[in-house]
Amino acid sequence: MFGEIKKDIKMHIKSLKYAWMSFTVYRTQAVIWALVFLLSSITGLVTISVIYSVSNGINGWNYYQVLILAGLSNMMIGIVLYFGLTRIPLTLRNGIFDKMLVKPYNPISMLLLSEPKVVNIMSIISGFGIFAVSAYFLNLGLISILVMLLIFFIGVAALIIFMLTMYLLFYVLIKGGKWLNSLIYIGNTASTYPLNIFGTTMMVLFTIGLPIGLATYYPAGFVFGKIPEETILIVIAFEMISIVVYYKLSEWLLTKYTSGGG
Amino acid sequence: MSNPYLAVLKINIKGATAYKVDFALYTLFNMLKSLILIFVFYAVYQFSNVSTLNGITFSSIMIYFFVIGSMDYITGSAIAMTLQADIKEGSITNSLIRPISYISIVFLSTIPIDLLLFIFTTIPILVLIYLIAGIHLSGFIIIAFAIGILIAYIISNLLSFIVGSLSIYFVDIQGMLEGTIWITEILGGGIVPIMLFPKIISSVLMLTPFPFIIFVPAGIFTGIINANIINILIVGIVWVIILALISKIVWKRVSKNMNVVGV
Repeated sequence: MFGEIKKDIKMHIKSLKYAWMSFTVYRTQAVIWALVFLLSSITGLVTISVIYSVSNGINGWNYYQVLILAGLSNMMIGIVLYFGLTRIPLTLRNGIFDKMLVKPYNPISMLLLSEPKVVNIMSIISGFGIFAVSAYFLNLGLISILVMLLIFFIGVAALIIFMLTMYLLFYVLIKGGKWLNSLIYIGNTASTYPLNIFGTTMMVLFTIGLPIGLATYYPAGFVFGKIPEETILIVIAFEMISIVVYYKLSEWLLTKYTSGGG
Repeated sequence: MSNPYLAVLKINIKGATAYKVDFALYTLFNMLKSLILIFVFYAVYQFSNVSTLNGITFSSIMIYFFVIGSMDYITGSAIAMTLQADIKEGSITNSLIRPISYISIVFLSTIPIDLLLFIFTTIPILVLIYLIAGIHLSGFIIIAFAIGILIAYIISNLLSFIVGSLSIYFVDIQGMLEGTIWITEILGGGIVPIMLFPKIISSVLMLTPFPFIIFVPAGIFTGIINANIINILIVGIVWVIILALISKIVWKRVSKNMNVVGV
């Protein structure tokens, strides 16, 4: 198993080098891309700032606490897009995946690791910038930050595997999945705010249905004392189980894959 | 002999509806973003215990987000991506020798899809909003809104065309395009109505083309914009003329520099 992981990491590093070179080949464009993604966090920042400037804001959450969510949300979308998830419908449909299948790697690793979208690193950086500044103004301790980030990363992993499963499922069912891309962006918008404002049904949906809350609301809510310890333990257990279950489901769905033809 | 323009139109309609379920689900889920923002503002109005924010009621903001959600389908132009793909892959050379102008091919490749989206998503959603929200729309407002939508559509496509034309120089313009979309969303009122910005910022923004893509038509429909509508639409038309001229100049310049990469 460790041998496989080592092999996948090596493949990813090589793919990353190639992606980086492809990205920087058009230098002006690369700089523009980088700037756009670096500034992408401003959307959440502007909305939250406008809301808090004209109103009392959101019940139970102060300005910087909501900014923490916005920072985590931006990091989350950056990571999800870095692994090229939104490209999967086309990869499956236009025959690129067929080429991947003949390579000596795990097909799931090929789908997630072989075509990284490096520009999204900028979103991760800008999201982390907002997160760090807000954490500073909230006087968050190092332990709190580390706990938050740990739950965040497990949540992001669960979200990535979940989305991969969904892309495979809808490819098998309807040979499509482009609509799932809009779901990712909707999830990103929703995860910028505390999930409890959406009501119980939507909150459950954003925890289990589209698990964006696992990466943003729960880690932040726990550190800010809004979510009890027992709940967060259940959330972490759920995240772990989700990763295993969705991975197995993805493996099974791959056995149902038929070529899109290209 | 068949009409070449009609043929291009037919091909693109077929292409757009090839994956029907995917298309329907994409359309449906796109509206959810509006719902998310409505929930956020509902929480804000509730917690602040106010009936208006900068003069905007919650019901107006709710209708506003649904309207911009319905318009999202026609204001997200694909022209820039078509231009980039043609220039980058070199297929523009084939298009240039066809008995139909390349610009027409580019516009005809996006208009049918937008038209489909407008007929099957924008209009039904707007009718639903009208029926459910029970808003009063006078004949003047309906006409002003229709003109506003048309201005929004033309400005969005012209901006996309200008950015797409630049792929002659930059080859890959996706970053610029993302930047334009992102700026339009923030400065055009896609995430918060412009009237919630500080007065000086909203006044300056109204002089740019961005609010005409989102805020102006949605504002007219919801009644957030209830005065000087004709003056505002005239500014929009002026922007259409300015951007059309810029597009013409840009295309004239880039046509001279056309150097197909074919990668």
